[in-house]
Amino acid sequence: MSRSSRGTGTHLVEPETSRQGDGAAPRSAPDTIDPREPVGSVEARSPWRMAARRFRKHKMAMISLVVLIMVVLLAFVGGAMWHYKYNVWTNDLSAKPGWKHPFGTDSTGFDTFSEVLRGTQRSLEIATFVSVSSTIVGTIYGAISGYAGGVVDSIMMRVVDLFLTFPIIAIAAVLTHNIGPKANGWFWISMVLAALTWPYVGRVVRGNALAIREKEYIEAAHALGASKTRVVFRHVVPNVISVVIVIFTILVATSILAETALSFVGFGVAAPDTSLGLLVSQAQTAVETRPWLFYFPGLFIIMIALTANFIGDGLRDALDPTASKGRT
Amino acid sequence: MLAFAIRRVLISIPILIVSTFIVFLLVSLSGDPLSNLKTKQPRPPESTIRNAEHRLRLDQPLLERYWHWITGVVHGNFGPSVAGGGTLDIGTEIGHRALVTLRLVFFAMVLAAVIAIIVGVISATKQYTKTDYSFTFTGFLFLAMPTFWFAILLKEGAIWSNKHFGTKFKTLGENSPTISPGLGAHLFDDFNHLILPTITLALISYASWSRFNRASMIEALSSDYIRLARAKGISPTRVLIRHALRTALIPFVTVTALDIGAILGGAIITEYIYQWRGMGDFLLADGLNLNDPYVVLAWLLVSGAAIIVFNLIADILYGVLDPRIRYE
Repeated sequence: MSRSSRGTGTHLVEPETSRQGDGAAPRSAPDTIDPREPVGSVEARSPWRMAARRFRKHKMAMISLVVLIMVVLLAFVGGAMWHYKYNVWTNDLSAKPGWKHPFGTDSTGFDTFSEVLRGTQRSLEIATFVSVSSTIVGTIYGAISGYAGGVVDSIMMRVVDLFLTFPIIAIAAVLTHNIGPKANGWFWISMVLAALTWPYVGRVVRGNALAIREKEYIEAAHALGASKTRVVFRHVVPNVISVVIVIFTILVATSILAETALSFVGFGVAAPDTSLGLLVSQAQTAVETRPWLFYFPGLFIIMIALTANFIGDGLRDALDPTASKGRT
Repeated sequence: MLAFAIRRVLISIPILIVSTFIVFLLVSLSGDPLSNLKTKQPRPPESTIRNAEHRLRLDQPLLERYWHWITGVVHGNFGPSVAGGGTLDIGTEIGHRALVTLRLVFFAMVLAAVIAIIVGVISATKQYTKTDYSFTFTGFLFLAMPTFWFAILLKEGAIWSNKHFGTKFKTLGENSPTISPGLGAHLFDDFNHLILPTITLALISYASWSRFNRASMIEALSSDYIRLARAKGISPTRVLIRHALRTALIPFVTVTALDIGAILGGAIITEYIYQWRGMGDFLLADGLNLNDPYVVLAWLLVSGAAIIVFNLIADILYGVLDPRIRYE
């Protein structure tokens, strides 16, 4: 989180021009910036289009985006189509990876491929839920805190300090241990992790909001008689969006690592359901005898976290052109 | 400076007290510390259960229990324990385990900082070369690597090497149960046991630190005083170390010290895999699995204190390294 917390305030986003779907290529924009492009054919470019162009130039980020989409499709579409189920055993015990079982089977005959796909689904669901909810809560909280300033800001930030003092994994273990098994496992795990990660978003957004509240357009909004709620939601929040998007991608990586670690030590997703962390945990005594049980779930965790981090890196470069290329 | 340090500690204490209270409520309200005793077959006599309840102060109201605990802590009494029918003295035990964990955390932080500084300096001076790119990729890879997966990999690798090359890596525990007497033998044994866990914990933290150091080195190297130093004819190595690195280390030291929370979290996982009887094991096994609120509280108190001290060290070092900063 230390990298994302250094985000600077950038104000390249105008609310009225914001176009969320920048994944789709603008019709006539070339994939790379071509210096020989005819000067006559100047096309109006919104900041989002320019960001999309810069993002497409970031090779690792583009590769990562493709890989991540493939992992998501494999987990959800492939998982539904694959003819073995994660909770139905087969007659092949401890089979090596092969055509029938791409990732082999474990000693009770469960097909590792279907288990890994199921685990990836669970881990992705939890990571998405955690990142979406903690980003929303953290953004609103941080925007209010930074915009309000003064005593309100101090109190709100002391609350954040309270959350940030302790290791997520320890507090999450305490919380899931108490509420986990009672209800729908993965939902509660997500809630716990979201409750512990939003302060990171809140702190970064608050830093940016502090700078934004001094801007002329905020003053203009006040002069026009805009209410405080309106200023926060229509002027502060849209102007921190670029920072928030970057934090969001990094949160995906952070929360998938937190969830798998939690499941690994036995305080996260529990059998009969499965998660990538739980699969590694179950395979830790079989590294030498049935290595496929250990390597495949681990590789999937790394793949998701790595691609999310690279996408975050690409987005940071794309959305924050004022930052020197040297910044991470 | 002293006044500043004292004020910082005084501000942190209320935060620590509030968080212990919240955790106390959470742990006490949900898990039943006597569930093991109550489900024992044949069921123990009612008087035994009532005695245990009285011993654990479960017959007192919640607030009174907390008050008993916090006044006890001031006198060095960390409350009655569930484990072993109360034979375990939480204070002595956590003191012993804190030393074990602190040893690991200290060496891991030093190792991670050294690697991060070296990698960061090399990456910054050879910016956008193959070396820089491969360091960047390695950094991202470790950032995405789950601690537990890497730890198991390293442990299995060491076992394999022990078997095939006759190396003597210690893969279990924080020390050997039987060693020849003498301080030298003890220290050597402790050191041997430290190697693998330290590498695990260090490599996980080094990733983000080296990215950070690279960024601040690049920033320092592109500043005017570096150009001046070069123009004066100071040797390149001296410019790099005395002028650029010294400036770059200021934010770096703060970031490393503030990461202590994350490292303590990583230490829980590392201890779990190498089966160290440290703080992490105390929290998971004695605290959570036995539903012992006083163990969880003791853990929280000790790690909270460690985090406060590290934050303080960060602030003070900031002042020492950067002469522009003065504390009133």
